[in-house]
Amino acid sequence: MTRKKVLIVEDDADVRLGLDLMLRREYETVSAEDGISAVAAARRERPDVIVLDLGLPCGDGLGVLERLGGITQLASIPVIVVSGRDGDEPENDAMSRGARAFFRKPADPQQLMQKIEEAL
Amino acid sequence: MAQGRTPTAADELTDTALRVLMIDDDPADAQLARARLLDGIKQARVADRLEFTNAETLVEGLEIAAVEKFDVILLDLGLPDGRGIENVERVLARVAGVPTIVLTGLVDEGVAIEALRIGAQDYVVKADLGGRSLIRAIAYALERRRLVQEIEQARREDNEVKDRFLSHISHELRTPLTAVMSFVSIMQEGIGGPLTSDQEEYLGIVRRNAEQLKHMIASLMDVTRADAGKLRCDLRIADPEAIARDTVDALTQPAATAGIDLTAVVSPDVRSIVADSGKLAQVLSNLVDNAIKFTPDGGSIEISIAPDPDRGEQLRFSVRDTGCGISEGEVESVFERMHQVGEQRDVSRNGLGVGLHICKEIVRLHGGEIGAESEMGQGSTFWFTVPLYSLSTFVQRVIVANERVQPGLCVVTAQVRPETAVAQAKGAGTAVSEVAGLARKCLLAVSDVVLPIGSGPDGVDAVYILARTDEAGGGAIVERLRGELAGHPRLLRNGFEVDVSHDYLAFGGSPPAIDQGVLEMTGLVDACIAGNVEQAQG
Repeated sequence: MTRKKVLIVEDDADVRLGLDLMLRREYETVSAEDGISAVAAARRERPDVIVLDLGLPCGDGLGVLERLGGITQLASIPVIVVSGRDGDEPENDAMSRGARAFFRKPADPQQLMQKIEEAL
Repeated sequence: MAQGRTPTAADELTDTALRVLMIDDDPADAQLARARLLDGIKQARVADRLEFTNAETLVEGLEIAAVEKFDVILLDLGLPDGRGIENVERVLARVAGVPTIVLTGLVDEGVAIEALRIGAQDYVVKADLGGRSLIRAIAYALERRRLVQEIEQARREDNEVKDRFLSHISHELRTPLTAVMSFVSIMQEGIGGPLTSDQEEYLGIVRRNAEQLKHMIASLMDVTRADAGKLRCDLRIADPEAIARDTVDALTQPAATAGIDLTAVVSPDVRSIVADSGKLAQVLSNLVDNAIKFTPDGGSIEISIAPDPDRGEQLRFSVRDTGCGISEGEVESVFERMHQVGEQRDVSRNGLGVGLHICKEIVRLHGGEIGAESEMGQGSTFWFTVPLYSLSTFVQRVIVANERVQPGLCVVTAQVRPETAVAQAKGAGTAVSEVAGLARKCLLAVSDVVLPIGSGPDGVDAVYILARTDEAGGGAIVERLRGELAGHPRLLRNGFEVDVSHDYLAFGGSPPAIDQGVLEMTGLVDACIAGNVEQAQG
């Protein structure tokens, strides 16, 4: 049985590695560091779920979320959004752009894994 | 506007004009003022030329002011169709932002000073119209307006900078913390290899401290946002019992660990409130958490919810503990920032001392009050109040004007329906918030209201507008809202449809007295809302 594929979009190298280590036990993982390569990676790899950090260079996370929603083949991929930003706005902004779930950093690893599992 | 500088080539190009509206019924006074201004404005470097308009009655003046722009208005206190302070009130209401200078006879000087208090910029005694006072008053008034505009611009820019800064530091602080907690987790799960029991213990310590940092960052962001006036509450119809239940559930374990008995008592006549459930739960948790910290083993904490005996339409939440109490002096200042009460027994989860300050701010934003009573050695009671939801309060605001009941009002309904399976699973909550935001842009008058989300009988799937207008006005609001929705295709893409309709509700005969009218109309609105839901499902 082929394992499910998770695309991790996160610009901080340490946080990205941390996510990768946690996820690669259960899933196949691919990563992207910014908005532009994120969409390209989604097209190329066709992941089953995307974990997306909002604070990205070259194409803000919300913009990526919108672009993914606008591309037919990619719009159905569930996106779980993570953000270090403050206030209620990031969650509202993300959910209203079609995100499946929202976590504020630092996200509880168990809860994040559970949401990823649910989304698949 | 060239002011006090040597004219340059640039000034000649711009050719500034001073647009003056004089509302005065005496043609001689108008002529005198005009002549004086023509003479003086170039000399005083106020402008290059004068555009002077004279209106002889208040009504004429108001009409002209409604359609043309002016830099300054000269207003006579004695007009054929209006006298005294009322003239000033009506003009200021019509032309908010345009400097208004009052013209008065010597006898009226007291009224003129009163005019300054309500917003006129200056006054000139008519006998002086030929002298220096008029030009000086105008020059000063224009300068003041320029300064106000500069201040407002600076404030706007300041807010933008604050916004970006807040966003930035939150992200910068939370990212490395994420990496720390992530790798602690990874090691604890054995991904980096098997651990000795010492290593497990030390990792536990790292994790616990990282959690504290996490909470302190949250507190810091909360208080920074509160200070910047950026704390937002999403006010909806909320169930106070649910809030209490969630708090008790979350804190039963910590209370038990501290050997404290935690109970909640809810009065039977508790009704829905208008609140941000998440934020109120935060407040209640904070109070209970504090109570746990300051109550010794074997003590008790009681949460009680009941209508406030002193404040009619408010619900009171109280947290009473049998702890060590707070001195009278400290009770005064306990809600201030950076206040740490006495010695803390163990390392405080909220080490920054801002918790109660944030609670105060949240309660204030809800329109409630917060306070505390305490006796050293006996215990403390911390309490806060929150407005109860009452449809009639909103109906009253819309249907009563000028101390009379209007003949009717319009109810505009925006029903939010999830169309896809994903949308149904997610629930309409966020979509309804968005629709409510759009609805607020479509109101016709200051008295129109968007009811708090959840005013419908079955919860959160519709937004209701109450508007003081007739059938046609209701139709206009519907069109506006449909336009706004069309400009937000995201809702549709996320699987939600919004149906907008309106109903005009009128009184049977002539409008009744206020109290009776509000009562009747509230019943009509209630029935209308209930009816709408049935129609949508029918």
